[in-house]
Amino acid sequence: MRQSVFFSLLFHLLFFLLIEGPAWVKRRFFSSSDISLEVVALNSVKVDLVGMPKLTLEELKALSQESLEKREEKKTTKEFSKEKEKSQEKKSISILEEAIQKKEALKKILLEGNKLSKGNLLYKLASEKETSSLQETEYQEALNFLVMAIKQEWFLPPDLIGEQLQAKISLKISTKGKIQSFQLSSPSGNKNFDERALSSVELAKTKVQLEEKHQEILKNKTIILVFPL
Amino acid sequence: MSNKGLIFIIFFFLFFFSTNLFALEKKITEENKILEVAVGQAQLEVLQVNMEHIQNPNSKILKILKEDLEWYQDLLTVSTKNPEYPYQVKIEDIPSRPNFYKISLFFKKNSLFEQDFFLEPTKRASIHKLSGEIFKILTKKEEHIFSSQVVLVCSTKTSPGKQIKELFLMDFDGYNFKQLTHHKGIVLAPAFSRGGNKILYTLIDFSKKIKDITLRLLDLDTSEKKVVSKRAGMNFGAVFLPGDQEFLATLNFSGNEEIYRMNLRGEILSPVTKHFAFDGDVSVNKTGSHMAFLSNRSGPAMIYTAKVSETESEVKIVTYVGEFNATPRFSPDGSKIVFSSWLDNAFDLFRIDANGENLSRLTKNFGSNEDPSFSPDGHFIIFASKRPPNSYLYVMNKEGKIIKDFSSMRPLSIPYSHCIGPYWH
Repeated sequence: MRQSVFFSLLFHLLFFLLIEGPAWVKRRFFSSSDISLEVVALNSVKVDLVGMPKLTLEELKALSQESLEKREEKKTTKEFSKEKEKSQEKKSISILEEAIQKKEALKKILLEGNKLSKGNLLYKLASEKETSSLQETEYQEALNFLVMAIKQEWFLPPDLIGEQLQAKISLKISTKGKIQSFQLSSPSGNKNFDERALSSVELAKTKVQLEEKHQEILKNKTIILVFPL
Repeated sequence: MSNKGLIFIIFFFLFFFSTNLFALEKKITEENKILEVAVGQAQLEVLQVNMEHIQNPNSKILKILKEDLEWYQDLLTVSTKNPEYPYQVKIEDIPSRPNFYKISLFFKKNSLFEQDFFLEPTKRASIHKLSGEIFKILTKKEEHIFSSQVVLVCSTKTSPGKQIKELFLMDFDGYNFKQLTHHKGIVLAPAFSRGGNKILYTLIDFSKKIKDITLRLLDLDTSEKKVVSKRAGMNFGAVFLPGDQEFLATLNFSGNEEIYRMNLRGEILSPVTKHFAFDGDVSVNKTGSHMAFLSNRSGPAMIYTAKVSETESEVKIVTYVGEFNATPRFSPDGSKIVFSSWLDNAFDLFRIDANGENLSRLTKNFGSNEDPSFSPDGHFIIFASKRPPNSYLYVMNKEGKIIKDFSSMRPLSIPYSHCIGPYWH
């Protein structure tokens, strides 16, 4: 009996290692960004400031709007570059792309400088041991970009402002970084409010195109948007 | 089959399924994490409003009404030539009643409001009152600026080597500008009472041999002025507490600047700060529970908040950065603080939540900006922008967009071009 129990345990241990082993090795040694998000923390997390913000709120708004427009332009540039690559003009296009990316990166640094000073993180990562500040910033960027695009379309008429209503919309991000689908998962009880919330996502849908690194983070994740909170 | 064999098989299957279920659940969760994200409060959609005076398209009433509502340009688009707009305001004369006008407000031809108003085109206050009524119906917001006033300090005629600053009062839009004091000294740091009928201010009187810095009270109902504190040293920067019978002020009779709670007889009720560092430049929130103040207790001058009712109670630092921060002023609801900070060789205005989060810059490349004061509804901020030798007043919305420029407006331009310390009520 003892022997059979021992062999049974050994067999299951080997079986478990066979299933979980490769996944653990992948997570431990090869995955840099595939970190699970488990805990959702809606409270702000304070980020220590390193200096006064250089950009004003007006400049930030303009930059955010410009950033959204640039992404559209960048997408067009990428499509354009593919065609050009085919026609053997790889070099000039890559230089152009690099220049655009550098400019974008510079703007992002400026933007993030101010965003960090706001001290807001909308989520918390599951395992702090597995995260780095860079990864946290990428998660924040991905979610901020998504929420910002929707918030810019989120308007209510006077009779609904200040009403204690809350609706939840669940949305899926496609593997290509677009809003794949969305639906009202928890209605507020007010039809107009729900329609306005859905309309904000619908209007933002065409504008949302996540960058490749952000696509990896949010792909196949279900995101629940809480209107307002 | 023996019992041992049966137990082994049951054990095997139980273990096998539990392991696989665990792995399957983990795989599903890994791939379908649910993220809950707050979108935040919606913005009020910009309402399109058209206004017409049926008998008189160029009426002064219509002009002032439009000017008033245009202050809230982030909430309202106002026109007098667009009958297609969903909101329509109609002004009609009532021939049988002079100076009475029928005011109607429609949303897509549905009547929202209809009332007869007594309006005197020469008296802007009556039209401001109508602006307030229309604004409330349109936006469902109770608070607005249309009946508010600003007390401020401006330079008057100066003799060589002698500067004179007196107390002035004006409506929110710069009209009804009038001089309140003739001290021939330097008036500083005025503050309205909560009821709006009293003003506390500091006077530096050069007529005496020893420089005299006293705290004074002006009653707007009776025009009576009196000294409320003339302790040795500086009596400065007073702000009323709710009830208008007590105030906070900075005194340095002890040799160090501290904030005290006082009554209108000038008696000290209690010290609010007690620290070897400088404490001053105080502002109080709407309920009077907490104050924002300036202190160099941690080194450079930073903004702090503290409880008003006790000494050195709940003292919290709000700003951690900035070379030199000054003039912290609470928003009416107490949720935000606007302040000036020395940056790139000038003062600029910044806004921060009272809990120290969400630091935002409001001005840049716009002179040296100081003395901010929130409007009573918290929607706007008036401030002094110094462009030596002058200082002009501007109003921006709480997001930093310039809404009103008083620099070209008489009489706020010449000779009163050096206006500082606005306090909006």
